[in-house]
Amino acid sequence: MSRAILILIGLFASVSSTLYAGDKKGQSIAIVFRPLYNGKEIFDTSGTSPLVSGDTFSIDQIRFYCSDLCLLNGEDVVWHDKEKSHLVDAGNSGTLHVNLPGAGRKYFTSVRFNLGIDSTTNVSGVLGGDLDPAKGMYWTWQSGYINLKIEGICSKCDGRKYRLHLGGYAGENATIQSVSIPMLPGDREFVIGIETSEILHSVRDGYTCSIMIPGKQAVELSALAAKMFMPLK
Amino acid sequence: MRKWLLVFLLTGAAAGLSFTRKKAALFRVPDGWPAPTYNFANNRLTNEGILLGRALFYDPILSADSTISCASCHLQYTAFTHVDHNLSHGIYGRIGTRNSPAISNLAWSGLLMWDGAVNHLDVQPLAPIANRDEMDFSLDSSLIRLKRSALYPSLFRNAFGDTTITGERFLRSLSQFMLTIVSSNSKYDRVMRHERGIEFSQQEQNGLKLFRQHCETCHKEPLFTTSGFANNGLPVDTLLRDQGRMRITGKPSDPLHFKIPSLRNVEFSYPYMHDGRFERLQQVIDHYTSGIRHSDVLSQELREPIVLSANEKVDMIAFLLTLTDKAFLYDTSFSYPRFLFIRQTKE
Repeated sequence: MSRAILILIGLFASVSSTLYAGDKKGQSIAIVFRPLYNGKEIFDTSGTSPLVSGDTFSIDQIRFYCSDLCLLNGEDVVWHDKEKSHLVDAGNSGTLHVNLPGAGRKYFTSVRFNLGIDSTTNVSGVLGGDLDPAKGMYWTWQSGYINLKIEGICSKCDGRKYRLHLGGYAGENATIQSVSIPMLPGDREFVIGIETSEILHSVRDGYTCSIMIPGKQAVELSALAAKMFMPLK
Repeated sequence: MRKWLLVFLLTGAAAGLSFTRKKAALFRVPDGWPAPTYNFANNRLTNEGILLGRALFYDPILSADSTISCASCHLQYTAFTHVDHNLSHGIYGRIGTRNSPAISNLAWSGLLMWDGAVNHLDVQPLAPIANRDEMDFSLDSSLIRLKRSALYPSLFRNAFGDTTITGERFLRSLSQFMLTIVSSNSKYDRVMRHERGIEFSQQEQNGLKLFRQHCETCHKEPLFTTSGFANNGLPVDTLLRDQGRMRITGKPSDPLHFKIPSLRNVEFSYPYMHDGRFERLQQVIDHYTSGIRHSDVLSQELREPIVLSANEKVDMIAFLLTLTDKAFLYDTSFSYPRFLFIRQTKE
């Protein structure tokens, strides 16, 4: 009798251990953002961006807020990130890797997040962490987060510099974008490409070298920015 | 047993009373005033947080050349604004484009700045710190200086439990101090509270009646503002070309709309208007009676002419002077925290 009990305990411990290991393994999944220009990686591991095309054009900075991240099974949200927002900075490789704690236990078919900060957060006063205004993604001349910053050099722009600071949260100037990307469970890392060639098309032509305020241009480019994101595997 | 129960209850009551008193000392809504719009639950006031904010408010360390502090343009004795020039000036003598607004009762304020560009008190200091014509600095650089200073790490530890200095803590503490700057002890307030021996003169009473008839809609009691925006018929300054609220909203209905300022301590907050164009209250009243520039975007409240006799104008000014709150202007808890900075110098 006692031997049978011992065997049962042993079996239980073994199964539990296996399940726990699997669970632990399943928990450590992450999204990895990969900034691209015409399909090629822009930044190396040190966060340095080489000139894309001779000395006429470069991308020196890409920063954006990835907020309200969740995983869905069909239409149902099965996992929701406890962190409100992640500031992703292409020049800081650590931020390109967003962990999804506990998500490995879930079955999901897509990931969804907001590119930018919602209006409620924008009117909630000062916040900490990645939303601290000291992170350099908050306007000073008027209130509001900058949802996406892309900066660099373009010989067709005055002063050879271009700056796209896309933000605005109120009414028709709202620039927040919802991004959904299909995914399949199984991998531990989901790589999302950020293809910038389309949004920078008008910069390269010298038409749009500076957007620093909310408005129609910011809204239009933000809609284009949402299309930068695509699954790579 | 009953005796112990009584002792327990009395101790509890005393502790509760002490707690209430402590809280009341940090911020109290004056009797008859509306509930504040600021959400104190998100930024609980503490003596230490207020003191830190006060130090920051008076410290020129936040400007690029360490010469201009918040208090440079917001002097307590003149209702937390400046009076010696119409437009604010910043580092290296640079002249800005607007008259600094008087500061008080910010827990009830809506949008801030003359054009409503700032949507929350917590983030308001970012604007003057970064403005080239004011402090011409950045939040980042400010934090670096604070971390290196002999004074601030300990003040942050006292306020927040450790010496970590972040933008969030920096801004919260400034809010904490600014929230305590409440003006509610003018003669007007004391009359409204029916304090013994305090009453309006006949002239002031008549001024109040006229005020309620002609001004109350925008300068609503007891805050003497609706916190809204209005086009009050000022012709545009051809040099500054300041369009006010329209710069932020882009709406064709908003040109020359500026924030309606509170009239509390208006005796000391001259010059008046967003560009400080009027030096005296008499000029302001003359503008409303005979200087308004009519247009499609003039605020509705000013479309009918305001007619006041010379005597009525004097009565109106007599009433406005009852909004002076000397206790506020000389309250030492709002003043330069000399004890902090002197100690630092000795160290």
